[in-house]
Amino acid sequence: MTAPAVNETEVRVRSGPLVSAVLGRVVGMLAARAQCPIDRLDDALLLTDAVAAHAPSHSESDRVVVNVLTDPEGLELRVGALRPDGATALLRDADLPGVGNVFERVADEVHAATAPNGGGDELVLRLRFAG
Amino acid sequence: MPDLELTLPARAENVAVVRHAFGGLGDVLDVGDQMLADIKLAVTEACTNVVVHAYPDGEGPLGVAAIVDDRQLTVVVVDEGRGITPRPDSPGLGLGLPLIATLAESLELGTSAENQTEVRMTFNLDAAADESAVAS
Repeated sequence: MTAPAVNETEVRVRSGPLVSAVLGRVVGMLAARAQCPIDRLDDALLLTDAVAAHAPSHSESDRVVVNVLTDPEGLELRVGALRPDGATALLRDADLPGVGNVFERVADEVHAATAPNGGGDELVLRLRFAG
Repeated sequence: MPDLELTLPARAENVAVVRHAFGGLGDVLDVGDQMLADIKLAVTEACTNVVVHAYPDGEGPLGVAAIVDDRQLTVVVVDEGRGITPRPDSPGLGLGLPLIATLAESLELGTSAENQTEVRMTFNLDAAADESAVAS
């Protein structure tokens, strides 16, 4: 079997119940297509659930924008179009009492960035397929 | 502004991603099984047309937008390919657009303001329920 190619998808969803329903399915499907191991698929869905729960509060508009990039090594979610300091606030919102920060516990890399072309603040979450 | 927008490479495997996303949309909008199956089939056909016909020399973007307004769903599938033209060497049977026209309440083919090729279809989300109510 040939290695899966890099695949980049932009998902833009109106805030509300659609975010969780659509984002989870899209990320799950893209991860599966990229040969993501089943335990990491579960982790990817944990990340999307947390993004869906908290990103709408920090978005610049009433839309949540997520760029999903998959490659043979892993999956990256760029949660974008956030307000200034929105990435830091979104990260802080993922703190669970007694558990810690969901993003930091599940993802292999977590950092704030500035989206290209003045696209606002974004939170970057990278999940490596190999443990 | 669309309720849902997806932009992804026009590849065969990504058609399933779009289809799956519409499954999520159907769940949230409480769309009946038959109507949801019709929507997914029509969207699948439109996206497959992009994958097969839009970029004969390589790969380009596939865009899908969904707008919900008062139980009416409008789906717009766009690409930046060569447009919808007759293709004598087409690998398909030529049934895609007629099938979409049958499944959707309306179908329009055209060019967007950004000069993208556009397939626009609308669905009445309560149509199947209305038909079964009339039958009973």
